[in-house]
This record gives sequence, C-alpha cells and structure tokens, in this order.
Amino acid sequence: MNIKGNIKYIVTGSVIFLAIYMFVAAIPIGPDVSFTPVWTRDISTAPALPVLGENAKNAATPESLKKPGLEAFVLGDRLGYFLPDGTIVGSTRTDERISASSSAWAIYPGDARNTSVHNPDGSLRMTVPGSGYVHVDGDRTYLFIPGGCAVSQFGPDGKPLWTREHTAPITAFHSSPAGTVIGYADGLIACVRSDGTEAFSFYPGGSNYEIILGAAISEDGSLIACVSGIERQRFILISVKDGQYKIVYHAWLEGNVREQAFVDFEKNSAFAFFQTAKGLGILDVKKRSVAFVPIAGRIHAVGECPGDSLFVALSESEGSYTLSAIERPNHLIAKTTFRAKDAFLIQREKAVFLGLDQTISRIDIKGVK
Amino acid sequence: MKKSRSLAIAFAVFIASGLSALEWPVAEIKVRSFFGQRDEARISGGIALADADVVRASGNGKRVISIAQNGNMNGFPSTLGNAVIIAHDDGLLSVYGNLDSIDRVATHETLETGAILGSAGMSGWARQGELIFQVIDKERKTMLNPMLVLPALPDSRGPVIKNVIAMSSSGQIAALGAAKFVRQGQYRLYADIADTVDGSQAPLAPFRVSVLVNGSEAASIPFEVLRAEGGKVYLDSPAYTTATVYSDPERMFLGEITLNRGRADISVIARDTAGNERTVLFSLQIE
Repeated sequence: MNIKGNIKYIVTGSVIFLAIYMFVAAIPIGPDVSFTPVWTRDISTAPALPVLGENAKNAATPESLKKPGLEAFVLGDRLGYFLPDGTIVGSTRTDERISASSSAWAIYPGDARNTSVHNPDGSLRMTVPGSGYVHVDGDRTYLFIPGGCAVSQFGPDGKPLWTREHTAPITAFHSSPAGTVIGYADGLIACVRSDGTEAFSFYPGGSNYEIILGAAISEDGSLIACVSGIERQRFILISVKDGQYKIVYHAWLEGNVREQAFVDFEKNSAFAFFQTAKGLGILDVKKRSVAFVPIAGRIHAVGECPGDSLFVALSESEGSYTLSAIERPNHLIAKTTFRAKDAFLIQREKAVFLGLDQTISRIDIKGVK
Repeated sequence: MKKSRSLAIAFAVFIASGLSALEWPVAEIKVRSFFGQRDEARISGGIALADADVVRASGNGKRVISIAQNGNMNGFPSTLGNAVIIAHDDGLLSVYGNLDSIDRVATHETLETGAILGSAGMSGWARQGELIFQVIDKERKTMLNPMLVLPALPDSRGPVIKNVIAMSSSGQIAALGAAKFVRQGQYRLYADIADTVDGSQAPLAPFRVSVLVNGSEAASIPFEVLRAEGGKVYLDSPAYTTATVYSDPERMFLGEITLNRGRADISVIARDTAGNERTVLFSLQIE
C-alpha cells in the first residue's frame, strides 16, 4: 500500500471523522454539583423543651413548638426540635432513654412503666399503660414489651390497637402510615396493617441460618423489603396486593451482616436502600435491579429527594461517621469523614440537616437536576 | 396432650441422663426468675440470672446477630438492650440480653462454648447486672424452657402451693382451704405456686402444675415451651396465654374444672425441674 501517496486522503478523512465525532458523540455536561453550608447551630444553648405543669427556666414557649416544618432530633443524651431556618426551638438533656418524632416525644427510664408521651409543645399526648420501651415514629406510638419478643401499637387515646407476640426476639422493625413490619430472630417476618389485622407472616428462608436482620414497609404498605439470613444472606422484596403477598424480587448478598441492618424505602417507593456486608445496596423497584455502593461500616440513614439523581448516606465505622454523596444508580461522587459520638441525617428536598454531637448544620445541595 | 406428654418424657429422660445441650452462661448461678414466671403480667420466656459479671457462650455456634441498645433515632428500642444471639448446630438459638456492651464479640463469626460475650449491664428492661437468657427451638418454632437443655441445679425442695381458689362462672370465689361445700358447675382454679432452688430464696416458677378431680387429670400446665399462633403466645394449650395465666395479680390460673353433685377430691400437684413434687388435696361436698 502506498501510504505516502494517500497521506492527504488519510489526514483529510481523519479530520472529517473527528469533526463529525465531536458533534455526534458530544453529550451535554451537567451542572456542577455543590454542597453549600447554610447554617450551623449549637444545640446545648437552646431553650429547654417545655413540659406541661413544669416551669423550667429558659424554656421554649409552647407556641414556638407548634410551627410547621418542625424536625425532631436525638443526639446522644439530647432531645430537641429545630426549624429549617436554623432555629433550635428547644433542646433538653437527659440521662434516660429518648424516643422522638416530629409529632411526639417520650423520655423514660430503663425499667419504664406507664410512660408519658408528650406533644412537641410539652402537652401530654397520652400515657402508654404497661411496662416496656416506648417508640414514637411519626404520629404512631409503640410499646416494646419486656422479654424482647412482643410489641403493641397504641392509638391517640392511649388504648392498645394491637399486640403481637412471638417465640423469638424482635430483630427488625419499621413502620409507615400503612402498617408495621416486624422481623424476628428465628427468621419470621410479619406485617401488620394499620387497622391491626395481619397482612402476612412467613419464613423467607433460603439461608443456612434464618433470621431477619432488617425490614422496611413502603409508605402505602404495598411493598416490604428485608435483609435475611446468615450464610447465603439475601435481600427480598415482597409485594402485597388485594390481600395476597408474594416475593417479587430477591438477590443473594455477598458476605454477612451480623447486626441490625438498615432497610428503607424512598418516599415514593421508587428505590429501596439496604445494608449489606459490602456497603449500601440500592434496589430500583421498577426495573428490579440492584446496585451496590462500597460504603464501609453501618448505614445509619439515607437522605433522599425523590426524582433527583443525587442522594446522601450517613454511615458509621469505628467511631467515625462518613457522609457520602451518591449519584444514581451507584456512583460515589464525594464523601467526607468526621469523628463524632453521635450523628443524624435528615434530608428534605435539597436541604440536608446533619447533626454531630453538639451541633446541627444545614447543607444545601445545588446543581442537581 | 399426648404429644406434650411424650415431649415431657423425652426431656425427663434427657435430663436424667445427665446430658445437656448447653452450658450455663455464668459461673455462679443466681437465678432470679425462671421460664414461665410472671414477668410484668406476662409469661417470661427465659431465665433471669443475677450478678452476671462474666457472660459466656453456652454452646458452640455462630453469632447470627448483635442487637444494639437503641441510643438514637435509628431502629427500635429492644427491651433486651444490648444482646447477642448464637445459632447452635442442633437448631437451638441462645439469647443473651441486657449486656453492658456488644463490642467484645463484634468481629466474631463463630463462638465456642465458654467464650466470653461480656458482662450483664443495664441496657435492657431488666435489673442491673442481670442476664436475660433465652433458648429458642428453631425447628419446632418454640421458645424452650432453658432448664430442659442446661445442667440441672441442686434443688432439694418442692414447690409451695398456697391460696388455692375456685372462681365460678358468676364470679363467686371459694377458698378451697376453707370451703367445705360448693355448688356444682364450672370453676376456674387459681393458686399461688412458687418454687425455690438450693442457695436461693427467690420465688421461681414450677415446671408443671396438674389438677386432678377424683383422680382424673382435669387440667395441666407444663412450663416447657411457649408456642405462637396468630401473633399470640401460649403455654402448651391456647387456654394458657400470657393474658390468662397471670390475669390474677397474685395467683396463677391453673385451668377450668367441672364439679358435679356429690363428693369431689381436688388435688393440685406442682413439680419442679429437679422432679421434686408437692401435692395439696381438697375434699369438697358439691351441692
């Protein structure tokens, strides 16, 4: 082949190819994602939470705790409420146990009996009769009964709606307005509807050692996800429709989580997030496909903004917390690690609220479509 | 009933043979409460062991989960507090609750008999330093009386039976120790029954309580296993739920008996895990 004679054709052809390639293959570059700190507040200097009938000095006014957008926090031995604008409305320190949501809070001792549940403004919401540990989740109130194998849900009037007992300890628990899912040490998973009737209970099995390590129920109660088993650990998605339930997806997981595993659904149920031994698992519910992000340690929370391509996760490993930013489906685009004894993560749309020991910060995510 | 009896016989043979599937999780055994005992108006599913400074694995097995005392907004507040659960090859799970920490075995996948899990603390719904110990039979889906699989305790005294009463369907109460005559009909029997073991004065639950009417067994509560059905737990029979057995604040529900006109000899027999037995007999004229 006479290359010398054809060199002008080769060069011209290459230039034309490159020019065409530049226009045809080009993809628009997305806007740069940035995390902008908005405010940081010290929670220890905030006014105390009011309690009906108690006149604490420097207590927040009940009116200030009725404002919309109130967020609850528990950081170590502190319980409180803040607003997205950076106001720490009230905060109280206690040596006892705490349960809190944006609707209610309770403080109780290790041998709790007849625990009072308060509204954020300090007024009495209800008294939960009996012994055990109160758990408030949204506007739902539960009592975990001594022995570790039974739980009750209570109505707003303080009367029990239902009680579920079993012959093995509860190892997983999650609730939504539609119902409650409970996992047990012997591998049983049970789902109770909000009216107290049982949607299902069965043993998913499939592993050498059956156990439910984590479970979650979607907002509308139509989907339940769980991480189960030791040795051949697996993730399961269960669909509940017209009174019937069936496993609609499952995936074997690498390694074994041997602690309570984080499992949660995105608010619109488009994605499910779950802890695995190798990091964070993400299920695309519609496509029935799983992706993994190698995050070390225990997943504490996954922030979310349905429809956005970016979400954040908070994990803990050996006394350090890591905030990871992940682009769908599983691209870890940024992470930062900090030492803290306690931390929490709440995400509301593009605002991320990060609590670390004595402080709460707001970080806004910008540049995300 | 037949199935339950054969199970009881099998366990009795097992205990008599001196073999045990598991070892005690503490060196110095101070039992505060037994399986089946009243626990805040419920039936306890395990044993509470006081002053459990060093808690050990009661058998070889795999750590299947460590439950952390819920200290923040994630998860749920388990009343076991910090707990470790071990799966054994024979289908049993052993549960160790109210530990001060779960860090000691955080990286362990397998544990040998006697491996130190930690100390009992104040992390769960229990007294300071008290270990909550439970045994689950995964094959039969029951919670097992740990005494069936642990080495026997020295126990030379039988259970004590006090305050036996019969409650009619209309709510009338007859104290069987004092009554000579009662009307015929159906009665619910209640009694205050407690056992002790050598070296401890703590009132403990018996192992089996039977009621005989004129020599025939009218009721029997074996404190061997807890079964679950439809989200409710019961001892042997669905009649013995957590709500019924300890519905009376001071006494244990023994069962329902029918008394017909004539003479009735009612025997209440309580037995402990060591086989010590106590019987009280009431002779009544039924009108």
